[in-house]
Amino acid sequence: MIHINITKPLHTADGTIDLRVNKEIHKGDFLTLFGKSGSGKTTLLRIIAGLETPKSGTITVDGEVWFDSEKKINLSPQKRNVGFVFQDYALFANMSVRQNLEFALADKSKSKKVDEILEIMEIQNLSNMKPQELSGGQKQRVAVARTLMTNPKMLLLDEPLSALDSAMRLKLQDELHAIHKRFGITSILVTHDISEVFRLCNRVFKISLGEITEDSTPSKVFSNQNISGKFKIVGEVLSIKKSDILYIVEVLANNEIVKVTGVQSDIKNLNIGDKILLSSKAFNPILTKI
Amino acid sequence: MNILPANVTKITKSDSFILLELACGNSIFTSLVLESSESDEYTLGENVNILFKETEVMIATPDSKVSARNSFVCPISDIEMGVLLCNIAFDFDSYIIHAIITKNALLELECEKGESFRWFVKSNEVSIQKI
Repeated sequence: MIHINITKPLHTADGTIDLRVNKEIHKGDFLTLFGKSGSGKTTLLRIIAGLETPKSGTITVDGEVWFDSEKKINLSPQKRNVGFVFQDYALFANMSVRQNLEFALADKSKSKKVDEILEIMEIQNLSNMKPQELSGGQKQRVAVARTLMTNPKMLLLDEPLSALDSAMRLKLQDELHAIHKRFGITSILVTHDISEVFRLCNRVFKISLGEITEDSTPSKVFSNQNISGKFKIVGEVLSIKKSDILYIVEVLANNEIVKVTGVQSDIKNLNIGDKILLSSKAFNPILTKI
Repeated sequence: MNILPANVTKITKSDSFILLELACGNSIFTSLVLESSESDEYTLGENVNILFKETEVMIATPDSKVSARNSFVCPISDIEMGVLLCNIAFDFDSYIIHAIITKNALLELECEKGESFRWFVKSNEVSIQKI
């Protein structure tokens, strides 16, 4: 159990606002921080990691005090033992994959751990390569592997997949899901990709101007429509074309393009690139064995 | 999408199915939904929206008997003609209901603006939106 009760002034393009968080995060949660740029998502991750200091408040993790402004307690990032994955990988360019992983080991005698993690992440074949020889997806897999070297209490993921193409993003989403399932590490993800939230997370904090305005499951936060349909897919609008008196909306969902019909009023406020929820009743889909 | 405000007046459950009766003005709609752990329970008196796609609405002559529970005779207020399809608007109390059917069907039924016809939609095509 993680309890965070902190404030921190945020200097944004719209002036100074206060980041105020008073929340409990449960062990094993896969939590998304969702909100516009400048709303305080990354700052909150950095505060948890110990890379930034709140103005006031407390952070306790499993009963251990990481931060207490009154008692002047502020554990260093190393002592907090969290894994932090960034969009830009932050690997050491002059070290091989194996050396990057070894570097993260607190106890160098446990080099067996390197082989174990290389195997879990299925990157044994990359172990002697340097970061510049790797693709974006491979680099991010190594960055995730490196965080696992220290058996972290928490994984903090700051838009880790946003620089990758959609096929690689889906693959790494599956891997993050598998890692979370295997190790049960409490994970906090910053992302703007709603389908990613649905694939990975059980809980979402929606942040606006430093305040958490919603705290619920992905389907409650993003389908505030709360429609009774049982067949729900989140997708992105690729195109809208008029066809006879209807409109055909092409939607990218789970890496596939689906076409859905709508009328003028359905597409009135719809733009290319918008995220949408497709829903259909449980009665409509036809089951065919393949 | 056709959207109508309504009020839950009756809830009948059988295994995984829930049959809801909903009052919209003086008309009663029924919606068959599948029980779901994630959706909140429906409560009597709750205000919701009834949703159904225009392409799920069928049309018949006023004296036809149909199995669909949501069946109403209303005057046609407008007809938009396409090449294969047409969009028929019905005056339903203070709301407009749209039905999209093939043009051939419209010609066969001889639907015309100002005349009353029966429009209907099956209970299992009606979705409920919590508000």
